[in-house]
Amino acid sequence: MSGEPIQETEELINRFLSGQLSEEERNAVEEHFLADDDYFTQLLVMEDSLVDDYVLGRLTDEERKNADLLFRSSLVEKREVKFTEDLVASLRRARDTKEERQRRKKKRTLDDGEIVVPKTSPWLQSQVSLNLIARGLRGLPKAFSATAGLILLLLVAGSIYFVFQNRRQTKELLAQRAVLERNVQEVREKLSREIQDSSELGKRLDLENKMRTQAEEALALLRNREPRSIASVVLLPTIFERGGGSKIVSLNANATFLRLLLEVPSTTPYPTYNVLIKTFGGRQVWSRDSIPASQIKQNKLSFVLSASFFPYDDYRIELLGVSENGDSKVVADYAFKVRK
Amino acid sequence: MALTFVPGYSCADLMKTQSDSAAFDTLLQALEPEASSPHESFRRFRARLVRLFAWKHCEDPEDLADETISRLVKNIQSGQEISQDRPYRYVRAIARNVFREYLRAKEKSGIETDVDELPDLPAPEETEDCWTLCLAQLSPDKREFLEKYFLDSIDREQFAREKGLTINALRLTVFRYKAALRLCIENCIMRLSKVRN
Repeated sequence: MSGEPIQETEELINRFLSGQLSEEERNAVEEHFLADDDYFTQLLVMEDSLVDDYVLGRLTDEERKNADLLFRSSLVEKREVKFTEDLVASLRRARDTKEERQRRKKKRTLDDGEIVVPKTSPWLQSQVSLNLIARGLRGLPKAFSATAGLILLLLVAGSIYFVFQNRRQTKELLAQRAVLERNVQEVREKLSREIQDSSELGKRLDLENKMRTQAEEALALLRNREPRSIASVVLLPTIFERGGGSKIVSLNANATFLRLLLEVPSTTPYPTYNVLIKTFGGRQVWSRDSIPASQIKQNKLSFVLSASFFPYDDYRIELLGVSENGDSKVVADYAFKVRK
Repeated sequence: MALTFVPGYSCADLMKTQSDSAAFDTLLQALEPEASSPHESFRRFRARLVRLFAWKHCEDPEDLADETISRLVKNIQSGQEISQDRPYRYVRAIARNVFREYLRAKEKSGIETDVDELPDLPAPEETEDCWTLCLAQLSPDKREFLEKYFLDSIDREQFAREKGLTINALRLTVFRYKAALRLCIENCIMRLSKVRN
């Protein structure tokens, strides 16, 4: 897409998507986007943004009402909404996982920070205190010598007491230190175990990276192919003749599903229908009973089946109408060939 | 009317004669001049028709798009000439008829279809694995961009300013990231389901 949509165009597109245009304006927009690639892309971008707002609950009541009408009207739009819902859920899951990992990492760091080792020796602190006291006493006048001597004696006794007390405390502190060191050792061992676990996780990550690279290579190959995987075939009622007249369905390797659209004759409507698919050789492939008539749209009954049900062969489909009293009658037969 | 739309083929493959095929290819070329191949032209052309019907609130727009293409092919086979100047006008006229018939059939049946009851493709069990894989393949800045856009309750205009983008450039960026993811998911599901089968 080149350039920016001007405000007027943006408003017009918004009104188009919310079904608020007149018939004439609507025709003009339709004609414009069919013929102009850039305009079509603008419409897709605006619609995509509307899907985002719808899924994230960012619309006003009226906008939501209009968006509901658009996004709940068709399977195509429903798939767009589902894709964005899945994207938001996957992003949330990825973010939660990342945050959980970060919380665990932070917790480990906090545990390490709680261990504190004493920095200064209490014995040294006591010695410094005694020196300070002695220096103070030497500065006193002689008249106070006796008293000072007594005080000094008391102080010495007190100091000795403190020294012993300090030694006891030192022992206790050393014991505590030993306990703390043991704890540190345990934490280190725990850390080393976790580092080992992380390295195993790293190996797993490497392995997943390798797998991812392989997937990318395969995806690159697949990108050159058609991404859609549904083959569709419209079938009209037929008269059986093996060979001539049957439709040929070419299923290539990409086709995962086969969509069958049976044109149902509108002569006699029935409340329910049964469908039976067989090969011309008589092998039953698939059947379904009691299909309500409401599933017939525009005279067509649609089924999406796995393409693996249909190897190279000729097939016939029997459509039976079931009346209210349970009687069934063949309404139409169809035939097609699968060629791979 | 007998058509099969098979991946890997263009609609021209279904034409009865060489001249029909050439006529259809010429028409596709006129409709999608920027497409790199007839197959790409067909894919883009069909995508436009599907959206045309989806934006008209039709339950199964793919079905109506296929019906429109069927009629277009039939007209070419019957020798109708289509103006190369404004080919979309011709296509739109066919699409309008298909839409009118759809409305008439809907009105006649009197049944309001609930889209939740319509059959859909089964959700493959590989989807969640594929989302994890495809998100992991995004570069960290793209993943962070999408996380912030979808998970943080940040005002969209403020987010655009933070990223140095206009609001429309922001929309386009998200659209492109989503388109790349969609392609990755589709391919991944296809690949994993093949491996499992």
